[in-house]
Amino acid sequence: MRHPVARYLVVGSGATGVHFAQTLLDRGESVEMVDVGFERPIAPLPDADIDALKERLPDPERYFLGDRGEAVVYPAPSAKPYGFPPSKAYVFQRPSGVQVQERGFAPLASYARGGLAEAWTGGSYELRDEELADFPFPASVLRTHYGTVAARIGITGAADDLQRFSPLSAPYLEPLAMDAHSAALLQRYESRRDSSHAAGFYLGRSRVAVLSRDHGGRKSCGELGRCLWGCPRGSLYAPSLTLAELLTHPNFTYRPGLLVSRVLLGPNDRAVGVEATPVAGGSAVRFPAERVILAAGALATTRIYLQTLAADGRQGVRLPGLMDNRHVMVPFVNLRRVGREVAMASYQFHMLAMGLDTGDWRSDVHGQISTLKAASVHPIVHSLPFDLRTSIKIFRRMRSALGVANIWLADTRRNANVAFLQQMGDGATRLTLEYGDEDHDMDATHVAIERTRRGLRALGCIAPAAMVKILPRGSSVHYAGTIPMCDAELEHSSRGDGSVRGFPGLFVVDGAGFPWLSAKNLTFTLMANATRIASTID
Amino acid sequence: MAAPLPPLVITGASGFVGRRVVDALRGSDATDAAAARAVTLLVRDAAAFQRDVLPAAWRVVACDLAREAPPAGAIPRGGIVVHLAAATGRLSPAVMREVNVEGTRRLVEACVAAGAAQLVFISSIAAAFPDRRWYHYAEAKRDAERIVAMSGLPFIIVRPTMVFGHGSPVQEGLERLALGGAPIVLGSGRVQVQPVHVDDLARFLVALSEHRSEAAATVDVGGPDRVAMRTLLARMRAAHSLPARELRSIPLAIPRQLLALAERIVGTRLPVTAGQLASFVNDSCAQPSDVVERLMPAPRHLGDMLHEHVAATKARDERPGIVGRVASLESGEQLAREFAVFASYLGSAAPGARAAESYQRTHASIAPPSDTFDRWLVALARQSPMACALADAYARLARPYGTLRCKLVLTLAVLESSPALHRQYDTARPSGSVVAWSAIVVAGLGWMGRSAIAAMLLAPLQLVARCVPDAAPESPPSETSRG
Repeated sequence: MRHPVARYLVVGSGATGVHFAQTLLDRGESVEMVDVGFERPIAPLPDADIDALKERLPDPERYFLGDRGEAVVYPAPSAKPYGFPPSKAYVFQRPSGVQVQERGFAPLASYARGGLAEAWTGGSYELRDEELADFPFPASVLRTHYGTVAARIGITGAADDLQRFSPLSAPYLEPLAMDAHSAALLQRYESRRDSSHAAGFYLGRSRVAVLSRDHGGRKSCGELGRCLWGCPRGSLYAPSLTLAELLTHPNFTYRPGLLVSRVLLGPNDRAVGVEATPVAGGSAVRFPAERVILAAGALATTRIYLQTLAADGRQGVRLPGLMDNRHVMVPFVNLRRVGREVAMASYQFHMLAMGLDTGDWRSDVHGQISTLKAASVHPIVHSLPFDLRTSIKIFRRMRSALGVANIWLADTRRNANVAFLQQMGDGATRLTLEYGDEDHDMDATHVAIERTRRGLRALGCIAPAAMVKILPRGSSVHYAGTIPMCDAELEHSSRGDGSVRGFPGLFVVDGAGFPWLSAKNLTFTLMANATRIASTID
Repeated sequence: MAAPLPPLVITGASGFVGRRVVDALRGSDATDAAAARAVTLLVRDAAAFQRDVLPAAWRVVACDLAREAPPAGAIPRGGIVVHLAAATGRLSPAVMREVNVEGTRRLVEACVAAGAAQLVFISSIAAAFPDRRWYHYAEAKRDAERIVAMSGLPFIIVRPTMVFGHGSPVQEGLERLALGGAPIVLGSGRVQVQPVHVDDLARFLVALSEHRSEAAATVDVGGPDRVAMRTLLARMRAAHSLPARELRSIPLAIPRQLLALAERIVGTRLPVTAGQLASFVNDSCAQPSDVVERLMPAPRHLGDMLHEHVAATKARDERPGIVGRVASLESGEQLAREFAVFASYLGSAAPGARAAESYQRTHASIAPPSDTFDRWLVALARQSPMACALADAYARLARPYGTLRCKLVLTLAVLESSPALHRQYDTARPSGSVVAWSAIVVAGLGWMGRSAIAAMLLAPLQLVARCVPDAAPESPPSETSRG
């Protein structure tokens, strides 16, 4: 069967794909989207809070732990204090045709409707002008698009000390009411503001894509404590919500169940469509298009681009510059909060964010602080240094005092970190990701950890060094840099308008095009950048 | 068409390196010559390959070199013999000599009698250690090297450095030092090490067996990275995403002498021997070699080895299939009883039938006990909530990632998800600050008391467990070690 030629064919339904498509539809264009698109399960008992969920579900153990106990986090040297619940398994489901080998890099990838941001915690931060210095367009241009995206998805934020790290140019919603522990931390910070600032430690409300008032068909946060398991009210933004709106648009065609393998090239290497394989099995299908927009996420876009080159006889290409934020977890105990009550039914994720001023904007550290509310407690309990029964007793007494600061460091493009295709024996190819200089930022990481621990100490918290976890490279889920936007006429790069050099009609609009990776959460900037490109593409 | 490859004989094929050599050989049968090659696996226990579907030109011959010469016909004329079988670990000098020296002598004599074309003898970098005091393994390998060199056969002696890779006893031993809450390094930590990956070593040995050389040689085989022992342990921590810690140095001079003295009295029942500590006082680095560079191009870097090991360990721990084996060994009734005891220990005397069913269903996600002591801890904990308290207190100290801890954590995960029960676990217990801190102190003191009693009762049991062979059906294939 021959498919009609699409004017714009978007690959992927993640944060960049849906906002790129929506901007084009707002312009009156037609858009076709090809996607694997594993579907999100329906959240049960949408009005129940976390406590009621455990009481009212017919089989709560299966809902929380999975059919085979896949959500149980067992003791291990590298065990994290949380696990992804079975209700988020669809986010990380991988189609059988995708083979990836990682060296020094343990990335997460998603083929779900909405992509990786289906499992995010909503952190949304504008970059400062200077942080856009490496991008081949004026920083002021992006401000408009931050505003467009913020108006679409709803982001809460407050004018506070964090404005020195992240401007508030977009329209923000008023923040949610804080939980008692977060409020206590912020209050103590405010009483010690000067000394904290002298130490380069800044605290404020985190900017979160969660609704503090109803927005379109979505309801404001109902404080159910179910964020991790999947917000049943649509309060916490996920790109699948935008996709659901796109599906009602007459000019939008969605083709799920298809894994794009490569871009089809015509004369002069012009992109003329894509080839995709049905995930359920069957022979490859071709979708002709005038313009192909790769928005599959940095790693999947890199795979498609390399497979396109290989099919064109250009095997052995290595793409340098793979980036990922260093991610560290710093658990802490707020000694003044021991023995207090905890409201389990509340917004579950971070309500505070922090910045460490290093004197150089390129190396400033960004962090988000989550106090412990609703959670699977067994991963935390078994990490305590006592027998399990004692750990439960002590944990319940200290529960109201526990929290974690997640901090991230910026990353730059370097030649040691590469993506390339490896030929397999059966003729298939495997995307290989190598993060070759894993240790390059260890000194900066240890300095950031110590400064974070000192900052928390000033807030009355202890952050035991033994509990700090430097997560494996790839854990931040912020990937970028393989087909960077730049002004220089370099091979395997893209222009400011997202067009890929050497391939007319081919555009990259996701993180693969980023030339530098700020420490701040990437997704808001990804969405704004995709919107920027879509607003001017011809 | 390529010339046929000479017949190959491998001893110790069921050991840590031997298994990988077998895998590498089977992976190299892309050419007609490799596929048609006659291969003899000379192993102590032929049952180790009972379930393997071997290529048509392969055969398995049972032979315990420590006791007997290879049977007639086991070594073909013109064949190449790769001698991997060895005794390693905590064994007596007599056993070391019996297997490593006399076993090699028997094999050499058989090779001469059969007219073998070449002997590739896998020795150890330890044979070249300047300080080999009390290291019976190194002395035995050194003596065996002399036997090979004097045999009159064309030979190559291969001295690998530390061999890493999934299942490596050396790597796992070093990780135990590196990954604890208070990591230590034995000795100064300044000795240089140069680990090689077992698959690279296996690849090298296969290539060596295909490129016969007339020249006798002794070659060292190491990986591409040479680092101080202290750096290696720090990198192991980093690979496991653990925070960097200052490694506390434990002086070795006196402990080695004391261990050597103790060994004369109690034999090899101690957890470590004086000789095994030689790796912490000698450099374990390879001299460069053209042969190694040519036949082992692009060996794995240390960082890759460490990350691969972390990933393999994680995959093993997370592999659901592994659990089916445990489940098959433990009946539903047994698991239900076990859950009732564990739940009672954790504070839920009557957890209900559905919670028990959930425990049985998800129990398949737990890895099987790794050894006898792990099994004993589970057996003890099953007896009663009080016994479980003692076993858990000791497991937290001695086996924090063991099977008992995993079973208890699963019990907790089920209880915190169950209606009516979850509030005992997932909620805070509010009180005044003084009451809360007092309760924490009391709980901590109780834990200290239980841990002290548990240590007194169970530490000797752990030592005894070292002397008991592990009869678990799911234990991995035995090493070349006879321990």
